[in-house]
Amino acid sequence: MKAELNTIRLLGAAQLMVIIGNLIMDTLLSSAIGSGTISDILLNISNNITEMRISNLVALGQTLAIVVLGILYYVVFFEQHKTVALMSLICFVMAALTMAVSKMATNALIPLSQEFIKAGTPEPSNYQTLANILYFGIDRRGNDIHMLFISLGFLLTNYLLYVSREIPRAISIWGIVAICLLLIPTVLALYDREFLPGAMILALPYAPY
Amino acid sequence: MNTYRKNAVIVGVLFIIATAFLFIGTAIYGPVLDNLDYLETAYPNRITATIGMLIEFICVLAIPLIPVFLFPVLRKHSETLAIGYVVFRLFEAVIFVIVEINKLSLISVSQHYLASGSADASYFQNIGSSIQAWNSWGWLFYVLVFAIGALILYTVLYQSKLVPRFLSVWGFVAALMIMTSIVLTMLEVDFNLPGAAFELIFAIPIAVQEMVMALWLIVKGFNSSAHELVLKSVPPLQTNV
Repeated sequence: MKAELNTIRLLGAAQLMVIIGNLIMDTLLSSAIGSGTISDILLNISNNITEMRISNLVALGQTLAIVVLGILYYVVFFEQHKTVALMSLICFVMAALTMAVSKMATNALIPLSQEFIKAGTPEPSNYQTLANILYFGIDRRGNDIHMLFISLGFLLTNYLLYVSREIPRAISIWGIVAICLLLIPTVLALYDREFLPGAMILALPYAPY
Repeated sequence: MNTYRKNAVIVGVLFIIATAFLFIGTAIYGPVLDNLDYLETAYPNRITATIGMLIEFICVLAIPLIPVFLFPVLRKHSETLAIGYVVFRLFEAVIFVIVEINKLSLISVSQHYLASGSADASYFQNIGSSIQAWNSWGWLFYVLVFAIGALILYTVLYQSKLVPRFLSVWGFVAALMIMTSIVLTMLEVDFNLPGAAFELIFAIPIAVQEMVMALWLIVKGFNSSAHELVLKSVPPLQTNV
């Protein structure tokens, strides 16, 4: 049974928003935070506060877009596969929630970086400890958990697309395989983030999908 | 026949609880946790702060119940938006709980600060500032999710005429105002107004509208002719005689 065309189009638009929003948010955050030691990160944040705020704003929109995406998938598929549609909705809501919590921690880095500069960038100090907890402990880990939930959500929705034939089966199979491969570095990153750079090659099939 | 009369009364009462208890709770714990000397005052006044938080937690019970009782009414007019409203209000309740738990952690920070003999104050101030920055973002996010839920609700109410259209339009505009205030706050635009005044200007329209709508639902219920229109549009069942 073909679902209403407008809802499907809205679903496609929401999915595009989530992907583009993710790219913009990551780009802004990486450029604001930079690289180096935690002290360098605090310095970079204090010099790029506007970029950080815009990145957080985009993350906020991204979170809401993920919830809307989950709702639309549920509405389209709940008559055909109620349990799987509900599970995918829950995964998307959990993904949005973990992103929201991790961005709360990122936002807390802004006043911390300003206090760090005001204090004369002391080394070592409790500023670095706090920044480590907020950035590497909560934001990065929160992002890893977010990736896990959103990957599971997309895996379930691709299954729904496969059984319903709303899109050509080749695309949904590609999606299922790509997401299964993406789950490997996602799970490895939860264990140890050192696996991430090497394992990211497994995420390549997902990019064009 | 005025169907869902009981739902209307329950929803009205829940709206009053959710809005009133939020303001009452904030009024009780606000002076303890939001002042500049919170490190010194939070722990000694922990009973007051905890009571204020518990009162606010009653909102957490009311917030998800509102869409639960509204869903059977709204789904007859728009199932997608009804589901959207349920999801967004549940999401709102979870964010609210996270922010409230974080606020309570300030009491622990104050306790440790006082136990250390007020030594190394900057260490505890940094932790407290980080928690407060976290809370301020969380609160902004909570209000934004609330505003989106409100926009969904008032869209359905406007289309369905379940309540007078002036109430739906008022709620829609008030929700847009509060969304605008969130974006302005994030970009640190406050028109040189004190923080509390800036927030109140944008919050009062939606707070008053929710009270008026709650009283309308309790006294008058949903518009019964809106339901009859939906029932008439459903084709009659075919029966074999």
